[in-house]
Amino acid sequence: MRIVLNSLERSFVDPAGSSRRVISGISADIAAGALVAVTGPSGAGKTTFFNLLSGLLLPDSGTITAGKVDLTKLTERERDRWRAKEVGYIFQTFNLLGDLSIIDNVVLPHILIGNGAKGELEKRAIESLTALGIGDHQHKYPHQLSVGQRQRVAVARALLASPRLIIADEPTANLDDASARIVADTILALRGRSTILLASHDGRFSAVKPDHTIALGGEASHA
Amino acid sequence: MRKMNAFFTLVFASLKGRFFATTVSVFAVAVALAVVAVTGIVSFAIAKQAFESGRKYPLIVAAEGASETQIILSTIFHIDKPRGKIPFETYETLKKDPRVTAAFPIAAADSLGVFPIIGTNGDFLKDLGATYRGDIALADSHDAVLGATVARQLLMNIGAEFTGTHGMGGSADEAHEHGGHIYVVKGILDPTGGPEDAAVYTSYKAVWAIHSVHEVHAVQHADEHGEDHHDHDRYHLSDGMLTAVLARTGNPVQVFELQQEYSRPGLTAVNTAGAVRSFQKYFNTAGLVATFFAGLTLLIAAALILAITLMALDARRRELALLRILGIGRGTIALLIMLETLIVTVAGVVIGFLLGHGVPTLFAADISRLVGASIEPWHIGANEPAALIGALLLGQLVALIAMLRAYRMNLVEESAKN
Repeated sequence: MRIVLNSLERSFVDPAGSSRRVISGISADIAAGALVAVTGPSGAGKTTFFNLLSGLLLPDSGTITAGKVDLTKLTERERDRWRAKEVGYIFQTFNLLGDLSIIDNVVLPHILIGNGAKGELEKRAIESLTALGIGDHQHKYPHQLSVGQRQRVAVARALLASPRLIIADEPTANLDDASARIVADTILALRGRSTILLASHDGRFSAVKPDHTIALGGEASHA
Repeated sequence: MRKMNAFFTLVFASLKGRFFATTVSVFAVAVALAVVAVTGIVSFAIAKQAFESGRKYPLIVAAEGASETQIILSTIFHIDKPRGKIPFETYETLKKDPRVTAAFPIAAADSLGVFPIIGTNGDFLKDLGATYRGDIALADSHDAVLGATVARQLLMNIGAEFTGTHGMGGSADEAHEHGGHIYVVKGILDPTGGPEDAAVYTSYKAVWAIHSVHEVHAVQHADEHGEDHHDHDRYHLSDGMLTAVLARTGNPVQVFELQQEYSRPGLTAVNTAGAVRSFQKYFNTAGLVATFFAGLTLLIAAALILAITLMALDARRRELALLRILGIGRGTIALLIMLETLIVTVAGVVIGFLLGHGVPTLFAADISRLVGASIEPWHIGANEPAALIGALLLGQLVALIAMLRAYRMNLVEESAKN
C-alpha cells in the first residue's frame, strides 16, 4: 500500500491548557511494500504518528493518503473499518485480551470486524501460531504464556488478515532472544508484500537497510 | 450470526474474568428479589388462611389479657402460646345458646416435637371437612389424630404411640415430658393445606387428665427452676379448663351480640372477621416494610453493579483501547459493556425469581408449619411484578450509564500512553 503524507501537523492540549505540537510538517511518499524506519528519541511523537497513520487520530492539518483513500476525509466509523481491514498493529506491550484463549485472541477480533469466516480464520490462525512456534498453546490463556510467547500471539493476530500496512512499535523490546528473532524475522519477511512502518532500537532491525527513514524531532514546539 | 457468537464469547469471557464481582452483583439482585417473592408467598398464605378461618369460626372466646392477634395466632394458626385459660362452662353455655350453630372446645398446652397438641373433640375434626384414614372420633383419652405433615415428617402411622411434651415450642427449661400418658394414633388427616396439617389432635379430656396429674408436680418443678409456681401453672390446663372456644353463629349480628356478652372479666371474645381484617392490615404493613427493605437492597445492588462496572471500565481501559486499535468501533464497545451489565441484572432477576419460589417449593412443609398456613410456592405476590420490572429497569439504567461512559472514553489517548 502506497502512503503519501502531506505536511502533517498534530498538537495536543496539555492539562495546563497550553498547546503542545507533537507532529510538525511531516511529508513523505512511501512506496507499497517499503520498509520504513521511524526514528526519534522517547517522546518524539512516534505513537502519535502511528495513530495518525492507522486512522485512530486525525491530523490538525495535512493529509494522509493510503492507497487511494484519504484518511482525513473518512468518518470515524469508516476509519475503524479501514483500519480493521488494512492495518496490522504490533505493540511493545499491551497486546492481548486476558480473558480470551490464545486462539480466540487471534481470531475473535477478526470475526467481529468481518475479516472472514470463522473456520477459515481459525485454520490460518493455527498455521500462523505453529509457524511462530506456539501452535501447542492455542487453548491456553495469556497469563500461562511467557512475554515472548504473548508477543508472538500478537504478531499472529496482527498478520492474520494479511494487512497491507503493518505498524510495529518496538515489537521486540523486552523479549528473550529467541522470541525477538522469531518476531523480527516474521515482520521482515513481509517486506515487499506489505508496507511496514517500524520503530525499534533492536539491532536485528538496524542491520537491515530501510527503504525510507522518517525522523521525528525530540523537542516539542509550543504554539 | 458468527459476529454475534464472537460478540457473546467476548461478553461472557469478560464476565468470567471478573467472576467474583459478577457473582456478588448477581447475588445482590437475586437476594433482594427473593425476599420480595417469599414475603408475597407467606403473606398470601396467611391472609388466605385467616380469611377462611374467619368465615368458618366467626367467634373465638379466649382468656382475658390476650390480644386479638395473639388469640388468632394461637387458636387458628397454632403458632403462638395461649395466654391463659377459661372454664369449660363457657363452651357448654355457648353450645346451648340458640344463636350458636356449632361450638368447639380448644385446649392447647402440649406438643409433640415441634407440632402442637390440640385438645378438642371428634366434632371439631369432623367439622374440618378433611378426608382421613382411620378414626377421628377421639372417643378415648388416649386417642390421637395426626395432621398429614406430622404423620409424614415423624414417619408415624395408625397404631403408633407417643407421649406429649408440656409447652408449645417453648424453651428446654419450660418443656418436659408427660411420660405417663401414652397416646395411640387412631386417625390421620389427609393434607388440607391449613394449619391442621401440622397439628396433633387429642381429646381435651386427655389434656385435663395429664395436667391434673401434673399439677401435683407443678410446685416442685417451679421450685427447682426458681420460678413462681403460679407462673408455671399458667399454661397447665387443670380439670375443667380450656384455652379457647371456637363458635359459629347463624348470622353476623349474632356474632356481634355474643362478642358483647362474652367480653367480660376473665374472658375475651373476638369477632374473627374484624380481627382478621386488622391482622391482615398488620401483616400487609409488615409485608410493605419487607418490600421496602427489599427495594432498598435492590437500589444498593444497582449502585453496586454500577460501581463495579465503572471500576471495571477504568481497569479495562487498556483492553478496550486494544479493541479500538484493532478496528472495533466505539459503538460496538459501548454495546459490549451495556450487554455485560444487562446480563448481570437479568441473571440476578432470573436467579432471584427461582430462589424466591424454588426455596419455598423445597421447604413448603416446613414453611407452612412455621407460618401455620399452607403456602403456594409459585404464587406471585402483589409487589413481586413491580420488583421484577423495577430490577430490570434499574439494570437497564445502569447499563445505559455504563454504555455512555464507555462510549465517551478516550481510548486513543490510552493507546498513546502505551
